[in-house]
Amino acid sequence: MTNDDTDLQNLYQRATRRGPGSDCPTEETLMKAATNKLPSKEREAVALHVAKCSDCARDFRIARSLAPWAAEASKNAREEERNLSPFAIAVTVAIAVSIPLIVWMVLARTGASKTIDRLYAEIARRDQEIRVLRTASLAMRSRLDQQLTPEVGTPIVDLDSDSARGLALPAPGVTTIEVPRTTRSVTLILHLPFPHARSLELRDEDEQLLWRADAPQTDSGSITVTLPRELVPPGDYVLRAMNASGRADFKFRTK
Amino acid sequence: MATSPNVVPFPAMPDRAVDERFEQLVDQYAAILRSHITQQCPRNLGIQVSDVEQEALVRLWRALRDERNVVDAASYIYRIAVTTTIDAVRRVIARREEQLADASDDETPARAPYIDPKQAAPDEIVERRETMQMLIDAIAELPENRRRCVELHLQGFNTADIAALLGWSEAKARNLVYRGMESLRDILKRKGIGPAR
Repeated sequence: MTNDDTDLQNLYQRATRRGPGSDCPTEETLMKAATNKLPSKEREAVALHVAKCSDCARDFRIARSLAPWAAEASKNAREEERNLSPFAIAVTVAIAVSIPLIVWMVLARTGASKTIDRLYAEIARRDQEIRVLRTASLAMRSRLDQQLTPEVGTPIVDLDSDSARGLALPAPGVTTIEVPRTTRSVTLILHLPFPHARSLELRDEDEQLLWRADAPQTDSGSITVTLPRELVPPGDYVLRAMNASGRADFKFRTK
Repeated sequence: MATSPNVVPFPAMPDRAVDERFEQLVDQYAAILRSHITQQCPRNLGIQVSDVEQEALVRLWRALRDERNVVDAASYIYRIAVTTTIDAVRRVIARREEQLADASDDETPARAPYIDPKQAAPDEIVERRETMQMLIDAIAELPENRRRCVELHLQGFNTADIAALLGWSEAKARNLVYRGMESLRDILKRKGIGPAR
């Protein structure tokens, strides 16, 4: 024996022939190991076994030697499957492009329709607001015009309190005020039975409060009050002046 | 029926379809398959490559006939080629061992059944068995990584195969094989095995 590689290999391979009861891996496992399809742990187990079993080592070498061909052939087969004709590629590309395009157009159209509907509704709402504002504007302008117009024939009436007259409401001697259609207010001059009044109230014939205000401080013993005609439509009313010591009612009737 | 990851049950193909598919696969793979089997069949065993190739094709045709749909043809043919070659090699070795058993009345060694009949003299058989055991003992003295590389090298693997099996780089495998074999020769020399003996 020369101890060269060939001698040692022959000797070792003869020494490690498969014995009875050997737990050899299956051909399938050897083929998987040869094609690198085994997890590293199982591959190591195969490596340990073939190192000590010359029969499995021989089988593994056969599997391993054909593995590159198998890998190449599988790769070629996969590439052939992928190699479609130019027409098929064109059709595939056209379908791939057109489907999302159609979906996008449908969605865009649906979205545009919704937007248009929403804008129409907004326009209608704005139109209605404009009409209302225009009407209000006209009404305000009309009132402003009225207010800017000088008044002619505004009634100015002196009133004495009941306590001064000693009459009860309704009484034949109640002051009657005729309010012309052209006027917008009535001016009343209240002659107080006391020097000062603290507050004023306007009540209708049912004693319902229509208006209340602090009385102006004056030394003349009289208060001038201008009432808008809308506040005193035709009817009986009483203007009540009050202070700490008592009250004075000024009754009048509008026509 | 044995199952394989590359074969799934498939409705039986008509004979004509089987033949067409078979011819298609033969056209596609037979030449390359023949080339590889030629390269891989151990030449010293006297295996006829054409026999192996023929058997591989028969197995493929049977697979197609037996209601199987070959999904990955290349992978399946690879399996057929490997198993057919392995079977052929085993058959040849078994035949030789039978001849050896017939030629000698001696008890066949459990771990060394294949021995050239010309060297089958009892004293040589004993000496060879002793040498084998000394070699095994010498290998066992090597550090683990060197031992693994040496074992695989002595099984006939090249450094690329050793690296792939052990998950190492080829440079590492080559280095360990070289150093391991050097150490092994030193040990064997120390044990009196080798040219000086």
